[in-house]
Amino acid sequence: MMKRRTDGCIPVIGQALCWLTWAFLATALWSADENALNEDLGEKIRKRVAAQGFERVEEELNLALKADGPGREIIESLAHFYLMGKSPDRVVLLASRIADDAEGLALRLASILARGGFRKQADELLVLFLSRRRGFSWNLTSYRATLFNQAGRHDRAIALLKDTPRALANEPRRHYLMGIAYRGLGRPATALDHIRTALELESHPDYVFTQGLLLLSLDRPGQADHVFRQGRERFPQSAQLHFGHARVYSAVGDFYRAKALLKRAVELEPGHGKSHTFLARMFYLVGDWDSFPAAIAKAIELEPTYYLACYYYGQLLLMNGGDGHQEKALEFFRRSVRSNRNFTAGYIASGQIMADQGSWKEALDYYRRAAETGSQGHRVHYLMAQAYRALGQVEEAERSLKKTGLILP
Amino acid sequence: MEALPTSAPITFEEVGTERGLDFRLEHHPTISKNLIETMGGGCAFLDYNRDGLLDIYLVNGARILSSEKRLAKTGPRYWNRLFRGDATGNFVDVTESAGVRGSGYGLGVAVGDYDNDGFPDIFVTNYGFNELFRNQGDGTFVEVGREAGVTAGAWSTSAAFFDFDRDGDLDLYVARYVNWSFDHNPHCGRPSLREYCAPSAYKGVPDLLFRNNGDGTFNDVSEAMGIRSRGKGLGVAVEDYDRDGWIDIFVANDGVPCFLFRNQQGRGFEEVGLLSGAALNQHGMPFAGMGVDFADVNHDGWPDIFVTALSLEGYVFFRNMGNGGFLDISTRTGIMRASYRLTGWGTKLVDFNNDGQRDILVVNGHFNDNVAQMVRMLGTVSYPQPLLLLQNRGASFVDVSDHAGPVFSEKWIARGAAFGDYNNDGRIDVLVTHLGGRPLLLENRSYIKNFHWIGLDLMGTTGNSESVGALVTVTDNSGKSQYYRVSRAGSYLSSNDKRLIVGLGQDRLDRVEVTWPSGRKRQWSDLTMNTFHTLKEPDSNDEAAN
Repeated sequence: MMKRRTDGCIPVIGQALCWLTWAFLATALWSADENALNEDLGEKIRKRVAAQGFERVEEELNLALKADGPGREIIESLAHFYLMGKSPDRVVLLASRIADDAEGLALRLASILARGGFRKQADELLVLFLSRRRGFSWNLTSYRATLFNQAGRHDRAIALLKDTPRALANEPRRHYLMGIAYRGLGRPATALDHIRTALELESHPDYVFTQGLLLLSLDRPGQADHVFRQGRERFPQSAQLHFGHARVYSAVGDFYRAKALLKRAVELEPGHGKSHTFLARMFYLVGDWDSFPAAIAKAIELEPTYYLACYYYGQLLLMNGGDGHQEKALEFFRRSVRSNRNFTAGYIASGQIMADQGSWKEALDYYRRAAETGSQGHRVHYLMAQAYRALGQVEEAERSLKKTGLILP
Repeated sequence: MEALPTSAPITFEEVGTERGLDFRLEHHPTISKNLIETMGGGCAFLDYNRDGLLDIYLVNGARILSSEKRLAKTGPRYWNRLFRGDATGNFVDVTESAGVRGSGYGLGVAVGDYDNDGFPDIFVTNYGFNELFRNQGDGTFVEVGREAGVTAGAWSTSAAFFDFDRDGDLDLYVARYVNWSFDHNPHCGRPSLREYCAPSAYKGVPDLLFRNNGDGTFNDVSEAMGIRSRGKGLGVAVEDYDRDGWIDIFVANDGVPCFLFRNQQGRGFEEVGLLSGAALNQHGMPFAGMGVDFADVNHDGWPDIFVTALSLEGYVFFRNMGNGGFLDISTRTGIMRASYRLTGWGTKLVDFNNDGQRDILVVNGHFNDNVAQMVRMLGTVSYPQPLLLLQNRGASFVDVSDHAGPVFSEKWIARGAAFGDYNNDGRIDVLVTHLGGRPLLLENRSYIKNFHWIGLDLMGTTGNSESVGALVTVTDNSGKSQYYRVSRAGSYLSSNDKRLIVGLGQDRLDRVEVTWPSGRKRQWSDLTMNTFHTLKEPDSNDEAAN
């Protein structure tokens, strides 16, 4: 049995991030879908707009729509075009142009909206599309559940998944999505039951990965280790499972094995941004400053909006110093919290820069937002106390300090 | 950030053996992994015979008789040692004749003229009881710990002499660590790989503050003065962080929040570590505070705090924000990166090349002798570790250890470090202890020909004879002022030369202003550079005004 550290965290900066297992889980699980999206059309549209101007491109697209009918390429191009113009509602209306049997296109448009941050509109588009056609679509329903989970609306996801035909009771992805939803609701044991059911029905690396991280979050690193070990035997080429297993070793403080697994993960899948990010993080945790810069640079190249990549890239900039390094670092810390609004460490790092520059009010704003994430315990209250004190609000400062629970007997 | 040599490189040469420092730090490691084995021992620079040459005191351990549950200095190999510096730059062992061999398992040393007779006395912290060696002025000492009332108990570590109530004599702060004992020595680590326990395995022990009664005795006023919290103290440094004229105390605690005791005009202390932001590191986490120094690094007149820590934590640099608060800026100053793999003990913020910027030297070595076998540390942390030299480049510190001399390319299990100019050449040298080995005497060989300096030795008349607590402001012809405090405290378990050497770079000296603890001030504008001066406290305010 592997022994987990008594505080359940990894030391130093890692301790600050131990809670991230679930935040990570919540975002990582959809990466496969999103990576599958074809971005070529979007890029083409961006280039056309840059070369010809917005109005001209709109005119051409409308002409094409009239001449050629609502083909996949035209519809998708329009979706990209509308999003460039920040008009997600117009994308939703494109649902009426999609042929009843073009379920794949509906999914694609929903994906485009979701990736643009318009999950609500993505769902509206799918509802609109579904309302026009008869019958049940598992693909669209499961995607809607995914969107609800991503948006943190886990109750809606569960309701949707429960309201599926009996024939789908043994659909493994249904259980998988239920598992994700229950975990989001803070019911890891129920979540684990669903993931186990999914795995009994189908052995899939995504499910193994989720099961392993669930066990880790339940403070069962020995079981998580076993799950990942078996998973890697069954799927030896899965970068994701190497990555997950590394997370387990990292959590128990075995950086040596964690690093080896992450290196293998990026060999297996050089484009696996999260593995690069965690490898960079591992280099950071062990103070391997020769390897850290290249690893985090690769991570940010692959996943420029991934909150952990942004955070560690910000740390690199801060460490390197030089003109304007604080501002540059701040930009990445801000990006990290835009990407994950519950990312406490990103708020704290931003606040620290503000404090260093004497902008205590702004620092306090960041610390407050960090406190709103509900994690990190005493850290945030300690930092808030500093800000209150600097702003002359001594009583508030003392109140914050009391919340730290650190005042020694 | 690559370590680069500079136009004013700092270099050292190790000359300890050649100068006659025949001593071995006997910590007596055992399979029982008694925590005291890995925590000693300190060292000091002092001029006990007032001949103008620095002498050296080295604290030693003792034989550990685990089965009998006792510690004993069973022979000369365990004695603490006093080495007298002679005019040739060598050191002669005078331990026996001086009567300072000690009788406990020694940890730390603090030097101060507590009886104000002009001769520095030696306070030794041990496990179980402390000793105070009163300097009789004739080359001998007498142990008066019990009569003076400072033997205390439990496990004392670093100590500091300073005048907290400004009544003219030196009081004593003693940091204490944890409640380890032979009966409370849990097995830590795997069954097959016993480790020294982390401090979390023990309870902290409250520190002590002794008020000097002026008659050779002290009173324990800890409780009455507000020194009540149970920390796990290892390092102590004193400064006036809020510039109210009263000296405050910073205690580096191991694994629990550090303490900053704000002096309430000599009437008591308020612990403001958490409120001021000097208790936890930049991540808001307690860290393994060990060595410490408290000095103004950025010339804004507000003393900053540097604290060493454990490998994979990074050392902590608290910038004094000037508003009663501190902010850990170790990442952006390059300190975190340079120190991250190291476990630091003795340290000081010192201008080694007299360029007018305080640099940082830290002596390192992990506390667990089998750290290399610990799975999580594989390939990252070693038991012996190199010395770390960080050169101040204004906005940041650069690791220049690789260019500082061959001694920096070796690894040591270093602990104590004392700082002082033993050969009076205007460059501050470093004395380092390391477990199981001979002390290192790092002679500063930095090229300072183009840089000016001034050496200052302050003498008190109305207050303590050593002027401990006096504030010295040195202003150069460009108008830049540097702020120094007379203090022997800081580092880890060690005591430093009380004299000040202030580097001026290529600028020239304009004036020196001293504010003594008595409040008297005097300014000098005719001091010659590149030599030492003795500055005497004016006998009266009238003289000060002149």
